[in-house]
Amino acid sequence: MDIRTVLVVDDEPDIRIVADLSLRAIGGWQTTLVASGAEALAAIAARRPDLVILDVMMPEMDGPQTLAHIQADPGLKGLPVIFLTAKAQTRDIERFLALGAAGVLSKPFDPMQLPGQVRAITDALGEPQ
Amino acid sequence: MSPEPATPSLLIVDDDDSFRAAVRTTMQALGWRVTEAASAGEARSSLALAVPDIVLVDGMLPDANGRELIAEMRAAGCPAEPIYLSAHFRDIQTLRSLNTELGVQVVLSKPIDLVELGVRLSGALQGHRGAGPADSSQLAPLDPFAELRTAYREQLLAHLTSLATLLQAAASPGGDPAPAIASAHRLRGTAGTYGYFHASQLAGQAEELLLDMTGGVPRDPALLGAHATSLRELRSRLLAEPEPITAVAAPIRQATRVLALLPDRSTREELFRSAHERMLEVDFAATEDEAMQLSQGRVHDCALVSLDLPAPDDAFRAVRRLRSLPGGADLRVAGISAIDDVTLRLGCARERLDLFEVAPIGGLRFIEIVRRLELMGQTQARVLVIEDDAAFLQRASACLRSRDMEVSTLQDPTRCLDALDQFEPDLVLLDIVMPVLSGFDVCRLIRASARWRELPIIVISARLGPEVRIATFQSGADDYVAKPIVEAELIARVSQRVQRSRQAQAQRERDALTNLLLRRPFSERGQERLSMARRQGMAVSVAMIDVDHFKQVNDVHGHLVGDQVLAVLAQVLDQRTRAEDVCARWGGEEFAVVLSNTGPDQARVVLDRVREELLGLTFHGEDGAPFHVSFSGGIACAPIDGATLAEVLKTADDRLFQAKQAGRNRIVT
Repeated sequence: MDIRTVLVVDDEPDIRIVADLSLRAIGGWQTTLVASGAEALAAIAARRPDLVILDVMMPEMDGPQTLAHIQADPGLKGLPVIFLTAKAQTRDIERFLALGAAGVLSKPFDPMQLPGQVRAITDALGEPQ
Repeated sequence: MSPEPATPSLLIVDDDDSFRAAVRTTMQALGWRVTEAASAGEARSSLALAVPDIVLVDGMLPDANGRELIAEMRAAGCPAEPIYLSAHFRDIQTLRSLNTELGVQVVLSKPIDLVELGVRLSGALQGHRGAGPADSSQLAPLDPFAELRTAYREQLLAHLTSLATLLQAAASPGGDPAPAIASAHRLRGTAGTYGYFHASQLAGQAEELLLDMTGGVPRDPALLGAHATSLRELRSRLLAEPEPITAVAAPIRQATRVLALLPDRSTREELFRSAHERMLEVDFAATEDEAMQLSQGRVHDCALVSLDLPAPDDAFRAVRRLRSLPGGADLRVAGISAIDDVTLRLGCARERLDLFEVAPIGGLRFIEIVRRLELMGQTQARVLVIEDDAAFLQRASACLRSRDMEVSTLQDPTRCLDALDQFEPDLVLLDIVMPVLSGFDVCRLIRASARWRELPIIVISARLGPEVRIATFQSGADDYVAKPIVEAELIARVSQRVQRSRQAQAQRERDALTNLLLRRPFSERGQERLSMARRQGMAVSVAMIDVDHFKQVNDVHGHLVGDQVLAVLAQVLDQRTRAEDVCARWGGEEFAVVLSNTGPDQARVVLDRVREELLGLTFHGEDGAPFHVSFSGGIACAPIDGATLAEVLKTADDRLFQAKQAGRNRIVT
């Protein structure tokens, strides 16, 4: 699938900054950055991105809860969501995939590699139905 | 029409007549004009008459030292390029100061191979006359994250202090661990992303420790205090070190997950037993559909697929389907066949199966096959790129990283041995033309260290005439790649070398039964860990472990069961220690472990966990009788108990004896 815009959701400003540069400079994508699940839902409602990169552990609405809200909206069907987590054990990966995430990326990540990893996940998705 | 380039000229300043003659002959044969001086005085007169392109200055002259002569030339504004000839190859400090204080770009060490001399002087001439390497005009952008990384550094220092404080608060009675957990969790993810991996690792350990506590493991203030100290130590090291050697995060080590697609029920049952004994996670399937179901949302690292399913084509189709699943593209597959047949082998190769094995594959062979697949699956080759040209460094790293390789880069070749110890690469990619130490020198330096004698080295050079190639191989390199690099070629050369060298290394260094290191490689790596810790001012713990009453296990339950006990203990040890720790089968039923950056208290916690875990496992003798196994251990710590590995091991061994005397099944520190 073709990616042009990516929404990054993470409550840690340092992660937002480095992910932003990585996705723009190396991935060549446009980015929107938000710090919480609620802001993410508002940003998606304002303008639907091609992809969401979602932190798992956030205060108030966490990653899986945010994903559930996205999935509950029929208008957002097919919007791929990739989890970003510092605890990527096999068990968690399975759990996140079972929730319907397109993929799971672990923190720390290498900013040089991040866009490649994202692309590998979206390539495997094929064309959205 | 561009003018003919002037004849290159060289002044040799050295009091050794035969050395001057050798250099003169070599360089004249390459078309250079050569003049000679046997002392600093003669050199001054010669330079007053004519200034050559290059002045080759010996470090020790009868009337001055070479450094003084070069300083004089610099002070007088002499435009000739000085090259320093050194007799002390290892004295990196002097060489570095020559570079930083006097701007000396090239240092040659005696004895020097004359072919190499020609190559080096021609290179220096190019640099001097301003014709840089062929590809330096195509400047790729510099590391786009360098600025962010530097800016983050200040914050990191503050985060480390605050996490240490929070850890101490959590350690006090009634202290709340939640703020420390949140802080550790954040730091774990963020610091590593900015290239500060040690900080990320320490934070990760702290987080897990705190989570254990909230999960009911009794809180141990000493351990938390020790962690807080490590964080503060790291902070002061970061303050002292100008820049961390950047490396990509090491992935979390996980147990290998195996899929076995085998229609034969008795084979499945047999493998189920041996997998269970070795604590391997294996999913068994009898049919293709079952295998597909088991692979939904679950990533397997490797698979064993029967080729009698019932026909080979069915097996190949199953493999293609498994590999088309998300995350399955890199699935390593061994084809298991009832018969050995060339057509079948060829079919497997065409379908990109990684191994062809002939049944039966019970017991140990099954484990061996899984290990070989594991080894191939380690696609994350670790490559250290040593190159002073930042633009090239950037391009080569990006190219290798695009293939999932972990890349660490180093611009200052004089720090190469430290970088090797820290990053432990599978391969070194090395530029020939660098200031102070050339690629040839770095090659020799690496080959002179016992630990890195076998490390694959690939040299990169813009000029690859026969002379350069010969000098490359003579200095100890394994292969070369021409600049400008063809990316696919670089990737192919690097990945093939890494894979084969890993296989050879595993066979050479590891014990077949336990897959742990043998004594010699253990001693080498253990000593390296100790040396590194000493430089960093950190503690290292060393443990000796001995299975209790092992002779009885063998006598009562049989040798095969005894072997199984050793293999299981090895596996628990391996899984409960970190990638930077070193585990070995010391001999018989004795094991040795080196725990990096770990004090005796932390080491004791780690080993007690292993001991309890082993004790909790039920083994079965050949007659089916259930039994349990314990071990005793002694822990010693560098630098408190000794400076060398041998000394610390000796103390650990004495304490192991005390543990046995005190009734076994315990750890003595």
